[in-house]
Amino acid sequence: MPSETIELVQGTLEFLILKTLSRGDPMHGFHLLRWIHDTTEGALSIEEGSLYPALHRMERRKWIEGQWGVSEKGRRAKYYRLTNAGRKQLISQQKHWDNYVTAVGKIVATAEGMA
Amino acid sequence: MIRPWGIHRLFRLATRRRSAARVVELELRHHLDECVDFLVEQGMSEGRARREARRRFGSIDAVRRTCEEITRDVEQDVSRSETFHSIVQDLRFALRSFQKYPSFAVTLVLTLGLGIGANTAIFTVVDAILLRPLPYERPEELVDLKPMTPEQFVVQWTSMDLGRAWAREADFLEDVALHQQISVVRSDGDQPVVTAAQAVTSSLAPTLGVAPLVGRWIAPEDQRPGATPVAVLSHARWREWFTEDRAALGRSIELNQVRYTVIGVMPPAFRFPRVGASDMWIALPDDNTINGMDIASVSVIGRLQKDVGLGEARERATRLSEGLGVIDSRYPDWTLHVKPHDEWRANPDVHQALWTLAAAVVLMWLIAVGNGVNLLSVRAAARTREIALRMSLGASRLRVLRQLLTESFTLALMSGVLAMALAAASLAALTGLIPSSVVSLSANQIDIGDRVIGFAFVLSALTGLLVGLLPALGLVRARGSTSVSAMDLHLASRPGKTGVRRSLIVAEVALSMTLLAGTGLVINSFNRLLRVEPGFEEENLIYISLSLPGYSYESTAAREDFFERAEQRLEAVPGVQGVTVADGLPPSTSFTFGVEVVAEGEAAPEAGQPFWIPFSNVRPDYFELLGIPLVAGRTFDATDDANTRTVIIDVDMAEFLWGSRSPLGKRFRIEEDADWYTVVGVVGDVKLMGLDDRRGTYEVYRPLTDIRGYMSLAVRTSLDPEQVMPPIRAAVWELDADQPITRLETATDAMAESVDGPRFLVTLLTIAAGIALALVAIGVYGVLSFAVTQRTRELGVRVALGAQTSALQHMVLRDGLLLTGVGVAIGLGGAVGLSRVIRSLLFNVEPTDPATLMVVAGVMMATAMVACYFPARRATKVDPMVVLRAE
Repeated sequence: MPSETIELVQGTLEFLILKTLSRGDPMHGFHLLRWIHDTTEGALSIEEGSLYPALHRMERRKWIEGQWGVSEKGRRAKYYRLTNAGRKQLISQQKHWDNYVTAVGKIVATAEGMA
Repeated sequence: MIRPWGIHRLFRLATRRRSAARVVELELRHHLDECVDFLVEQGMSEGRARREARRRFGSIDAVRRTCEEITRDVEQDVSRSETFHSIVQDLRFALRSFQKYPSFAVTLVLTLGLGIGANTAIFTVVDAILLRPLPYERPEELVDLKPMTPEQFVVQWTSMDLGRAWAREADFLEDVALHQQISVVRSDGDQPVVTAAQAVTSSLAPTLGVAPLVGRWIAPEDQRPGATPVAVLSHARWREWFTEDRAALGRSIELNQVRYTVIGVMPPAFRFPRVGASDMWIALPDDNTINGMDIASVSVIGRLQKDVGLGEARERATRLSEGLGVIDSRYPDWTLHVKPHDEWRANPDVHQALWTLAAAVVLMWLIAVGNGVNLLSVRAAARTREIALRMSLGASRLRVLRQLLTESFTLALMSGVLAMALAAASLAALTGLIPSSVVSLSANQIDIGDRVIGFAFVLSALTGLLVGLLPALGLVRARGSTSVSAMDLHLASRPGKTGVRRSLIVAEVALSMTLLAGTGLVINSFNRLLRVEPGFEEENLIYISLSLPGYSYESTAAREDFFERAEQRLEAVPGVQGVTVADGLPPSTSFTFGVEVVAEGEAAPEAGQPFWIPFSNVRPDYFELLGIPLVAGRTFDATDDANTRTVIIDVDMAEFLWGSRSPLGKRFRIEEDADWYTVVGVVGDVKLMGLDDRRGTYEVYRPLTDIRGYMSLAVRTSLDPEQVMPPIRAAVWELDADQPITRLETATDAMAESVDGPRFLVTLLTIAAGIALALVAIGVYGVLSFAVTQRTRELGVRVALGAQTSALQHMVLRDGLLLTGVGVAIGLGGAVGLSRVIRSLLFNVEPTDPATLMVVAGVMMATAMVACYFPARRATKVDPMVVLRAE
């Protein structure tokens, strides 16, 4: 497990949620949290305090929709899944993200070259 | 993991009602539980895990509050969109079901579209001519000021002195303007044309609350004697003369040989005082003189002050009336009468014709609605199973009703769109049919505007409700039994439902019978009108009417000279046999009305007094040239003039006054205290005032002694009149190139125009009745076909038991004809009941004319027979084996 955890930039959290839900299966909040944590091997840690407001905000914007279901452990849980609007949002954010990464990558490369 | 989406609606419904706080609480608690489980799996003790989970979560209250706020918003959105969403769903469902049964949807939309479209088209006309407020600002405040005789008879115009005095003194008016129509000749175009100009005071536009589209309106300075003459054009003339070019402003046009500067153009919709008299507006000069012509009479229009009602205005007008005789000695005991400007829209016969048409299309619409109900209930019967299934799955009665109504509304709105298209497409033809005399009276343009669209929409919605509600209620109410299949049977064979459909058919037949009977009577009457002998030889006869401008032909001598030369010149045109001058030619001539005809030395006959007496002032050769037979006495000669008061009357009048005695040399008068007329000759009856002469059956001819400005010439030709007309026009312009020709047409056309009004009514009623008949045929066909389908089993059993197929056919036919027969009987009763209403529309036909009613009943029965034939034949094709096997 890496020693450093990365602070999430505002907006990145929403992107990550969209991306995670785009895999298809509806997920509840804790499940989402664990999945992101495990997939990044703990590098990205999301706080509960920002996850739930983000989920509810995204539901309000109709990017995701929540439905009540029953979890594996027999508990009633609220499951989220991506809507069509959310899928569109993901595509456009993905572009932004790619551009951002490329741009930052270039600057980093140039700066390294100068050093 | 369990995926909840399959039963998503159930869950949605379950959670909807839960409060936002509870939902958030549940979600967050679930998170903590999962987290504790997770930590315990990692090896933590449960107590520690619980503390750790709380620690990780941070400020749970803050998160809860934020989430609650967001969730509450979502809840509101959901409940708002829920209704909308389900309507969209209903709509989609409706459209899908139309796709599944396209012929059903198309038939219904066509039927309703025709019904709504006909009403929309007629409404467009009725609204423009009779209903829509006039196109001025707050038109209800506009009033006309008119002089009224002591006998309460309101006179159209007032003298200029009186008009000016009223305009000055009427203190109950906010604004007031004078206007008078003058006929001017535009003489700088290709051909001299007569245009209708209004000489108006500059206050007219402010009074009406209108402003020019381009340029400016007449200013007070333009009214000063000697000011440069200015003209404001109507939009139509601007387009015609200047192709809507703004450069027209400042240009000049020649009117009555005087140059007028164009200073402005009014908006397209502006007409004042009506369409037929709105080519341009020129300044009415303060000295009441235009090009040396004195304008002697005038009309006054004003706008009531805000707080003054009509009653108060009338009271204050009466006070003003006391000085009337002082201002103008010609009005000794008269009063000033205030009447709303839009009180008079059209003559009573126009009102009657338009409302008759409106009634006809409403009947047609009712028939269309009847068909709609029938079609939809047949559809409803076919889908009882579907509805039953939906209701047993828990759909509420209201929900199903709403879905069914959405379907019928969608169909009705589609019909409404079709109706608008039909109305728009037929409008040109429709306005072409309306007699121009009616169209030109309206200040409103006959076009499809907001009101018409609103009308079509409301009528469509009403149609949707009417056609949808009955079948839908029947379907939903039928849910008494619990089992789907039981209900299926129950509905499909319910005799009550068929009863409703059958009574609808009877009603439809009755309605269309009434419409057909009325139409039949009007057609019959019109044919009789067309067969009326005009009393003169109208073949090879040309009419020319000329209005000699006062500025070119000031004296009687000048006018006499002109017409003498015109007669000579026209007689020289090849193909012309003879020419005569008269002040009027059939079917339009001068007349007097409200008369009492009495022979000298006898009491005035009480019965049969004419309302109108047509008068024609004619030359001695008039009778011979028109081919009017001289029955007794002589025609005019050089000894007759205005002083001799010698007249020629027609045979009907001679008989009315003197019976079989000879009228020659006898005297009569038409008003008390008037001088006596002496009869010198009797001629055959002529329809001087048009073929329908009910109001003017007695004709009086006087010798033509005074040649006035407006005269007509009758030209007898040996060639085809159409060939002779161009050289005649050229001959007139040879005499005076600036002389406009007001009318040049054949006598045949002129007589035909005199029945434009009845023709308009006959044509449209025939179309409406034809469509109604077709709709009824469709209705009868539909109901009988459905009945045959429903009775397939019974028919099959009958065939199996040995019934002849012809007997089955008869059975179905009898069924259909019985329904029709009942409808025909009721409809005939209705037609007779309406006879009082229709009587005044008829010429020489009784409203209960048995021949007409029998023919109409025959047409109805024959149509029904055809409509019954196909279902009846289908009844004979029932294969008993198929039916019995299905059993």
